[in-house]
Amino acid sequence: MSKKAPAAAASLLRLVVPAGKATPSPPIGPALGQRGVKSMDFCKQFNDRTKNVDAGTPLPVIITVKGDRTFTFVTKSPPTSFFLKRAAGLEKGATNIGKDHPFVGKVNLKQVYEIGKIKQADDGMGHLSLKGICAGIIGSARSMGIEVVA
Amino acid sequence: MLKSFTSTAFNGFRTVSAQQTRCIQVSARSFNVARDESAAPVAPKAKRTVVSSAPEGTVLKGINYMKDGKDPLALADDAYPEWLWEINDPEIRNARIADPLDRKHHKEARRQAIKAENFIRDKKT
Repeated sequence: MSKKAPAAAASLLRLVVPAGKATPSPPIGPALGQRGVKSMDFCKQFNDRTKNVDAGTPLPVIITVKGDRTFTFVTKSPPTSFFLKRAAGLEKGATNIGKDHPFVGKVNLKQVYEIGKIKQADDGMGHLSLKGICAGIIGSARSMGIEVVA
Repeated sequence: MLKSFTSTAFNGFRTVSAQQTRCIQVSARSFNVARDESAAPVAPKAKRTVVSSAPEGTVLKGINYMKDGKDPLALADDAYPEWLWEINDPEIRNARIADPLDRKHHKEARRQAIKAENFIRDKKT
C-alpha cells in the first residue's frame, strides 16, 4: 500500500468503502484530496458502479491516481470477515479466542464453499485453487472465534 | 523423443501451482517408468463419513450481497468436491504434520522452534 506520491508516477490507494454511500470526509476526502483528486468525482462514480450492491456493504477499492490527477479504480468483493459474520449471524467477531474461550458463532462448509466461489472471482486470486481459498476462509473463521462445522 | 521430454520438463520449471506440477508429473510418467510410484500423491481413499449440517435445499445465509440476488441453496453433499469435506478435518491435518516427508511437518517444526526461541528471548516475564 503506497501512501507516498512520486511526482509523475501513479500512486495506489486502498480503501474500504460502503457500497452506494461514499463521500464522508474522514475516510475518503483527505485520502483523495492529498493526491489532488476531487472526492465528489470518485464518490459519484463509485456509487454508480455499486448501485446493484446491497447498500452499506463494505467494498475494498483500489484507486490508481495518475500523475495528471486522473484516477481509475477497481472494486473487489467484500472482506471475508464480513461474509463470515453474516453467515454466522453475528454483529461482531469474538473479543477473545483460544482454547479457553468458547466459539461465538457457527458456519458450515457449504457456506465456506460459496464464499470461496465469490472470492475466486477477484483479480488477485487467479493463481489460487478454490481449495486453497476455502482453507484460508476457515483460517479467518478460526481467528474470529467462528466454528466451522460440516 | 528426447526433444519432447525436454519441453515437458521445461514447462514443469515454469509452472508455479501444485495442480499444474501434478499434471506435468503425470505426463512425465510415460517417459520415466521408474518414477511411477512417486508421481501421484498416495492417500488412502476412505469413504466419506462426514454428513453436512445443511442438507440439500437449505438456504445458505449471509452469502448474497447484491440487491437483486438471493442467498444460494445448498446442493446435495455429493455435488461438492471431495476436498471440501477434508479441509476441516483435524485428523488429516495431524497426519500431515506427523509425516516427516510432508511440508506441513517442517513448517510446524519451524513454528514451534521460533516460539521456543522467542520464549527464551522474552525479557518481560
